[in-house]
Amino acid sequence: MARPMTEPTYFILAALLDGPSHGYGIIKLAERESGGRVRLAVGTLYGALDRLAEAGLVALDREETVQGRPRRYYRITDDGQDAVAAEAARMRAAALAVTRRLPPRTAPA
Amino acid sequence: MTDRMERHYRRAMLAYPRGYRAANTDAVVATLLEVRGPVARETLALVRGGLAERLRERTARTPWWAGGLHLAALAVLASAATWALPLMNLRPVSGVLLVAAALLTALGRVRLALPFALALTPHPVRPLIGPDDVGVAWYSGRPLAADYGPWTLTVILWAPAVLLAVLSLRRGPRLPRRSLLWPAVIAAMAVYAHSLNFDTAPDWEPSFALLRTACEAGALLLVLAATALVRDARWALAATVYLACTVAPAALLAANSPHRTAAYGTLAALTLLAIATSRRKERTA
Repeated sequence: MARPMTEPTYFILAALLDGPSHGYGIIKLAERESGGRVRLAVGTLYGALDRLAEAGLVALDREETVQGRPRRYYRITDDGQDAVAAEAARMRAAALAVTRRLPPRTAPA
Repeated sequence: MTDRMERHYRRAMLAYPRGYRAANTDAVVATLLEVRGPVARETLALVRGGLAERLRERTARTPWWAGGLHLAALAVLASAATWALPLMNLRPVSGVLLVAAALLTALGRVRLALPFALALTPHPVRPLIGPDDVGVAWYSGRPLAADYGPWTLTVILWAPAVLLAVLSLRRGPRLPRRSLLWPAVIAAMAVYAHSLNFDTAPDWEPSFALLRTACEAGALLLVLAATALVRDARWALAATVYLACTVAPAALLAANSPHRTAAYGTLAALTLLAIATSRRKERTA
């Protein structure tokens, strides 16, 4: 059985599901989609992208020059999509184990 | 302001290895200037990431078990030198053998180092004890003091030979070169041993034992830090082997003061913590 993905890894991959993105875009999207829980430092992000690239889950898409500075875009690979989808399914099953046992809350009058 | 920030982050990128810096500094710094996160937090992440990257580059060259045993062999040789100061005083050739073994081991030439380490070993079934031998109690009656058991130094002097023999069986590329500081420190200890008089227990010896234990604890903290950064088991392996070959014989085969027992317990706890840390999966982020 695969180990659960860390939350930052999950939201980095999730941020790339809409299409290739650059570092700043990944950081902002991951923070927004996680409700502010995942706040990646740039050094941490690039280290994570390196590890994910080694694992074949992300790849460098292209590099552009914006205002004289390089901007790298990363994309999620097919393996990366499968991995994050599997993690989402795992978390959904884990959540169901609890939510289906809780009685429905009735609103106060 | 932006220029100052850029200079600051480029300095922080020095934590990364040269090749990584050449390939990635511009892109990373551009992202940092765009994100404009808290400077201290971003800087810490860069330094942490840089150190981790340096460690990953080093660990990529050899399997974790070979790297761990290689490091352990050097550490055990260094420890053997500290325990064998009286031996090096009585028999100067033992200092030469220790330095030669350490130098060849640091150069990755473990098969060449093995004969020197074997030449150092005492008789395997007769402990080092007697009027010409060094099984004498020259630590006694003070904090961190211990009385040598007859087998303590015997076991510690056999440990490097056993480790080098195991490494010699390994097939594949030669082990990478390690710091020549190891043989340099042992050489310094061998030279220093010549100047000592071991007829009586020297006044400085409790401080020496304390210094050794402090160095061991400091090294174990570095082991913990490296293991936490990249979750590679080699440093924990080196620490465990070191503990088994040097600290354990001293703890189990000698009579120890309560202070020394507490020191050994601390070293053992740090080693266990390193093992536990190495078994946790590396966090991708």
